[in-house]
Order: sequence, then structure tokens, then C-alpha cells
Amino acid sequence: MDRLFIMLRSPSEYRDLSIIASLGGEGRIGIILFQDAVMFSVHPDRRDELLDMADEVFVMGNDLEARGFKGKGDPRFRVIGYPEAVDLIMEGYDLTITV
Amino acid sequence: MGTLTILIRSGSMMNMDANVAVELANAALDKGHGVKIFCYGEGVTLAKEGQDPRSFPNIEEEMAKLISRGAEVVICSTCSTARGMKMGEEMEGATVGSLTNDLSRFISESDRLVTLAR
Repeated sequence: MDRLFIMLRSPSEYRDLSIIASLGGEGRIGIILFQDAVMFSVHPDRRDELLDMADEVFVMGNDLEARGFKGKGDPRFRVIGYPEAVDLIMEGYDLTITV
Repeated sequence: MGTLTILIRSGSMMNMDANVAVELANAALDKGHGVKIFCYGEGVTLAKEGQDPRSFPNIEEEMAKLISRGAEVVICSTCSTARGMKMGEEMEGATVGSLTNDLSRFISESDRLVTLAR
């Protein structure tokens, strides 16, 4: 079962990522970063920690722009919009978990 | 196409979870999916009638648009009563229901569930 995690909180507010590993299971793991969680993609220490936990990591473009980080995220984080987020939720993965 | 249920526990002005819920619902409707929104905890404020957030986004207006596009919106009666929101104070088009009846029905009728809470 492929699982898609939704993250909302910033790297400084959300410290312990181990829940993703424990809930992740055997299948593919994807992560979508919304709101302040997009700052994981520009955080020098925590971005690699997050990338190591997932097969693919997505970051909401409008939240990056709203916070002044347009074009500044690590390129390994794929910038998406709401249409792609819906496709990932509805077809790309079997289960969505918000952490 | 499928059906998406959004379960939201964050209040309308607490953070941007309500805005994410609205954007996600609109994007899903744009793609032809069905959308159901269950509001509980502080999330019942999303469907409170008479919201006037001045220059901030008006979630009641956004929810009204979603309802006009076919989204089903139910708010938890226990949570709304607990917060002094009486029957009849929910916005037009929203229904006062319950976790046991309505959320369980939503989940059984949906292909995916997304939770927005902290």
C-alpha cells in the first residue's frame, strides 16, 4: 500500500519525523508539504532528513511563493499546484495521512 | 472519477487549513471528483452563518461556492453545540449531523479521505 503524507507545520515546529517511518509500511512513500511545512525544502539540515524518508517529496508552489521562497527550494522537492495534489491523493497513492 | 472526503478540525481563522480545504475541494471539483466536507471541533466555524472577517478571506462565502458546485458539507452537532452554535446558525446549504451517522457515511461513500488538523 502506497502512502501519501501531508505535512502542514514548519521544520522548527515539527521536530520528530519518525512517525512517517513507523506509519510508512512497505509501499511507496510520498510527502506533500503545505503551508509552513514548505520550509523543509529550504531548511539546510532538515531537507535531507525528509528526503531520506520518502520516495518523492512535493511542495505546494503557492505556499512557497506566499512565504517569499519562490524558486529557492531544493530542486529534489517537486513544486506542484492543487490540481497535481488532487491527482496524487485520488490516483497516485492508496492512502493519505496528515502528520 | 472518485469522491474525496475532507475532514477538517481547524477553525476558519486559526491557520490556513480552512483555505487549504477550500482550494483542495475546488481543485477536486474541477477534475470532476465528488467532494464531501465534514467539519468538527473548531472546524464547525467554517460553516457558521454570518461570518464577517473584514479584509481576510471569507470562508463562509468560499464554502457557499463549494456547496453550489455540488459539495456536501456537514458539521458535527456535538461540537457546534459545545461552542454555543445553535441549530439554525449554520450557513445555508450546510447540514448539522454527526460523526457516527454522517462521517461514517462519507467515508463509506468516498475513495479518499484527507484530514486537516493540528
